[in-house]
Amino acid sequence: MPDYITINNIDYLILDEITINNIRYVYLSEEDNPLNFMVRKVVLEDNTEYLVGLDTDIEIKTALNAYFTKHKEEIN
Amino acid sequence: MKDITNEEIVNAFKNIDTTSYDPRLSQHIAKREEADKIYRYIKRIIETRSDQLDSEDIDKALNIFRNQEQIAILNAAYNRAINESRTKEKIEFKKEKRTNNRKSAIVIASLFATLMIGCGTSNILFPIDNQPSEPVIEETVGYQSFNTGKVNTISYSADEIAEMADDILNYQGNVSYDFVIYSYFIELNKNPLAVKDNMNLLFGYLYQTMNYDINSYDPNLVSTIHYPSFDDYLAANGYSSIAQYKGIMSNMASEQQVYLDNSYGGR
Repeated sequence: MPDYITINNIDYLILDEITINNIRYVYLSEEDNPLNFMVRKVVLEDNTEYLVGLDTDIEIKTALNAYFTKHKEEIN
Repeated sequence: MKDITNEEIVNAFKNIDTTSYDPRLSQHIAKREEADKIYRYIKRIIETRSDQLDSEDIDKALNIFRNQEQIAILNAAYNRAINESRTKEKIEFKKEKRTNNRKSAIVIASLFATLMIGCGTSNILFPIDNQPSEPVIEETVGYQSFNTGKVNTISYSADEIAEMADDILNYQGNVSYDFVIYSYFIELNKNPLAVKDNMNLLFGYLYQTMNYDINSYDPNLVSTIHYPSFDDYLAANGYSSIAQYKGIMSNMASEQQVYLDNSYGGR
């Protein structure tokens, strides 16, 4: 069974979670629009996990690169 | 669904003697061929797994690439992913398990994400200034404090950029075309992260549209903006970087007291 999260009333599939440099990144894709894709990272506050946006251009590209590196075999 | 064959691609271009064309046009054709490769690639991947998939979902996914320019779609999706990933919205991470029979949605979403990122990080399709170093992927899980930082959530869809191209081609004002282009640069530079890609996309639309009937356009317009990409436009005008272009055009606009109407691509 797939994992989902609802953001702004839109259901996103959780495609993967990858930990990079001790930060856990979550990769989301809208179920009905696979081109609507985003990355969030997990932060812990008061024992609750939150998803927040990434801070810098290089952090985003590093996170995207990690996903592609991990999954590129699937499209070969 | 009939796949596009290599032979059909070759036939499509066989009557074009690219050796007599400007090298930049050859580059443009190469990009189109690359876009066709992407389409065929996706089609082959999805059809290979078609025994697991719902045919309606496959058609829906493939139609995205049939109806519009492939590179533009991937470029827009990649840029949107970057913008969406910077949002400062904080959401409680509550996973939900669901019984879902739509395996196709999961497979397609995963394939599209991988393909989009692969294409987005391709130096061939979308040159990127600062390629990240290879990430260190670790097994342990850690956390860092929440940093809101400064974020930019402005994004431009491929359709919006295509509309900007139409506005430029129909421009009837008195400002020179270089300044018209600069005014759109100012607009698209509201998202500096994606300005280069978006300007290249804008020039791609301009170039393709003008090619349909280039003799119908003002010769000044053709000589000023008929370049396959913004990179080519910058190089042809002697600019070595976007920063240099921005600085010089800003000074020229100020010195010549050019009024850049905010309606150019403004919103």
